[in-house]
Amino acid sequence: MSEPFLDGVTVVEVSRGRAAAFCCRLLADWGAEVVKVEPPGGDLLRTEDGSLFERLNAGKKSVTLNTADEAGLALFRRIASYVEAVIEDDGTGLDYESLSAESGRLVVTSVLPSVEADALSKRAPAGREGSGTEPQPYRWAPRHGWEYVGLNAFGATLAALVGVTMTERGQHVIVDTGECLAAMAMLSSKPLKGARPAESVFRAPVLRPAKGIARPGEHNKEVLGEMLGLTGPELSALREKGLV
Amino acid sequence: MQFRLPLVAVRVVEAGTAPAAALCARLLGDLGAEVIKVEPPSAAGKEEKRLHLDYNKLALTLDASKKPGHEVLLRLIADANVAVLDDSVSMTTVDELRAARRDLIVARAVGDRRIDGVDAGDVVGGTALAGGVLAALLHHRRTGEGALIEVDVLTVTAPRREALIPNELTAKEALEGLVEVAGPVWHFSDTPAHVRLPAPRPGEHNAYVLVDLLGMNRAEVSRLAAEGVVGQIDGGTAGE
Repeated sequence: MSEPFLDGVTVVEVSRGRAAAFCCRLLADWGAEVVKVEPPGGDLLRTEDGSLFERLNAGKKSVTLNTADEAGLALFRRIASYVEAVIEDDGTGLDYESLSAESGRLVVTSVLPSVEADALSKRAPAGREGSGTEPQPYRWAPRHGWEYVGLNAFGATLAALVGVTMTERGQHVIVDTGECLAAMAMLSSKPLKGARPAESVFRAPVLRPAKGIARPGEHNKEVLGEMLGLTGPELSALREKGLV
Repeated sequence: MQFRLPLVAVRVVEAGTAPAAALCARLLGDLGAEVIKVEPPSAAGKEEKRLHLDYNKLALTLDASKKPGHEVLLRLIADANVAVLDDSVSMTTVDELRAARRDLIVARAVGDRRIDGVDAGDVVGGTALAGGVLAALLHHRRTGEGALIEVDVLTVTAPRREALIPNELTAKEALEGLVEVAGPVWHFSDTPAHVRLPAPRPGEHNAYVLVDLLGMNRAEVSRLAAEGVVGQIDGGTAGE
């Protein structure tokens, strides 16, 4: 049997929303090593009821890092210089230009919440189902529209990685939530209603079975120590400052 | 500065009627692949879905249910990197295609209920399928191996989907003049995906595919067209 298709591909995820997290879950399913960067207190979705966090994050590694701090951001940039792709929906300080200055082959995928989507949601009819935690972007938005947005980010990231095999150059990939959902509405005659996100949408013999759920920072030593070469005392100092 | 689209020099053959397969192939076309859509010569061209799902493609009319047509399809796929199919194409044929080209990537949308119109399950399924093909292409670049990927467009949007009525008004407007299509939503800083070709008429590129790519002479094509195996090579469909 063939090895998972994305064996040997390493990506870093910095996400607050579900779409970017789902994109990286799919990358992990196909065999990529996904390092999830969480704030030192852990991803906010960890506190959500139900199994949402588990479904979105199975099979990933976890590193805690305060990217709001200059020193934490500097460490993040160092991690990014070792990987093939960064998937983010945060934006703060993670601009493509500075990240790609370290590695010309880096692919950066930004999943944008849409201003237009926010405006459109105000026109949505009353009584619509919503998660209540995210802006409901589009009148036609399926309940699990973020899953579709995540799929688009997954495909677009892979397309850019295929491009790197030819040109040796990465690029900035943008997937806009509102635009994706508007396109879905144009493409389909019916919205997706009451659907449940599939654990994995693929029937393929080369998917890597999801491993367990990492604790926040479970792989700090592995990534910060072994990948970046930080020493034990350096890691302790970072921990004391609340940076990791 | 000019950059090559990521799938330049990748050839995709699309056969079957599932909208998810059509969307998958179009997404690959958006990225620069040469996509050849294969339809039976009797294809009516369901315009309302065609506009959005079939741009950035070439169109060939071919009846693969007839033996000579099946042979032409095999020849075409032997020269392609990716085949995008649905479950109207049997697994026997899939195995045959993979034998015709050992490193072929086969993407298959299964579970289509084959009614007119497109629903969100088709859109999600088609997008997923394209993602799977791209993962397989990345793997192929490293190992030279082919792949078989399937997405079930029914379970991808479980628990169940509703039948729907095609939007006749949109189809009519589409025939009368310019319409807006849903453009590519994957934005790349260096290699922007865009609508390079509008949705073709069925068989619009018969001459290119049959004569230029497969090397048939025009007499051979005319004979197959008379038998209803392929469409005419003037871009029209057989029987027109």
